[in-house]
Amino acid sequence: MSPLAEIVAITAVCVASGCLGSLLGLGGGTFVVPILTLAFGLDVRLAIGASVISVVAGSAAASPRYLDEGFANLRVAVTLEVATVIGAVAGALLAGHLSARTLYTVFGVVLVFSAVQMLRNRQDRAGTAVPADRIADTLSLHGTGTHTAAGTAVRDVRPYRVTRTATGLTMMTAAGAVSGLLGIGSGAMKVPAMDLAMRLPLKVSTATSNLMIGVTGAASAVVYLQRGDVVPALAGAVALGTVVGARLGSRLLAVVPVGALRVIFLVVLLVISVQMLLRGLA
Amino acid sequence: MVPAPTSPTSTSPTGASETGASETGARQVALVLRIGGALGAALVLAGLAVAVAQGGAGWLHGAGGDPLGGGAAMRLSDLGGGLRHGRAGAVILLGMLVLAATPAAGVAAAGCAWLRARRAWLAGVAVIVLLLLVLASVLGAAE
Repeated sequence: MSPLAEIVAITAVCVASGCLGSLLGLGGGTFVVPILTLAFGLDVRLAIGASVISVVAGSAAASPRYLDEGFANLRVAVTLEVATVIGAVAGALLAGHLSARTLYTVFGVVLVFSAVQMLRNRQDRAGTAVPADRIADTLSLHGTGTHTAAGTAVRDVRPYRVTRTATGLTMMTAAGAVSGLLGIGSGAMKVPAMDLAMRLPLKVSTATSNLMIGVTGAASAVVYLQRGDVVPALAGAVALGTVVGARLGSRLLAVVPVGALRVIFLVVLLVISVQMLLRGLA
Repeated sequence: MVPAPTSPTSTSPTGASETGASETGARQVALVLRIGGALGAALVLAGLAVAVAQGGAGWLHGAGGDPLGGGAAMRLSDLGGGLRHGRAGAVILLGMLVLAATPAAGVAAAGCAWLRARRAWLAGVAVIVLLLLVLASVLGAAE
């Protein structure tokens, strides 16, 4: 295959992966590195360098809408970014010193974790009594989220209180480290940290995670760009493909049977994770 | 335990709650992300178009070769020279730099909005995030 044809093929595949990532709530980055390494035989470090750029681009494309609609909590995002950026820088620096086999193994494990997160029956726990939290009070992190009653189109605004910010910061450091190490958004780790630990409504957690992914990705991207682990043509094609795919996915969300798609791609995710683990452990 | 609030509360610099849609700085951050994202994507697209127009020769610092191999990787320090010589890879790299700087600009916009709203603690947190991003750049360059 000629380089130009290969770039066109990579862009097309990234449109599909960005679309699926958007439909499944995983983000396009989850599939990018496995596709580039397993299907196109590219170096895992260069694949991660390309993926991290696409993660930033995807977040910049999706976040403005979440901010306009009032889903994302900007105060929570910036507060938690202190932890994710520290983790991301540590992860990105560590990635430069780890072998490709170790990166494959860690990626395989993270994919299994993402599959488990997809299986988890997410329930909105917002609105229940929560322990008082000094950090959340000092920084005025509490907010309001919109809620749609089941079976109706009625949307009402409900206030929520943020709690366990210190726990959230600890979990976010780990999420940031995984993001920096593997060039993914780590939404599968960020959303539970806000949803389960800090008791943000699920929609707010998802939107805030999307906003944070951009800053976390930028911290890692700077390290990868400075270190020379980014191939411009590859990263450019991946970023454009993923952004177009993510936008397409958000439009298809209303018409595609996401439940069935989720089952199919759960299997795909598990197969990919086994492939990555085999590469790492073989 | 703090009971869950039962009714929406208004926006207040010192209040415990804030309505998402009218959140301080949200509009500015959204605008910055839109402009930065569009500009970065446009530069990446322009770079790819230039590369195709150059028949692929511009990929590898003007020497041709595999555009997807490790030899085509560029550092940020290659940016100035690449742009001066009209390399397609450098244009794409500039687009990626704009994309990477966009979230940081968003944090800066939020920090400024919070400072204007006299929310010193939040503005301080934004400054810490920005300093960490600068540190990331320094540490990456030292690698």
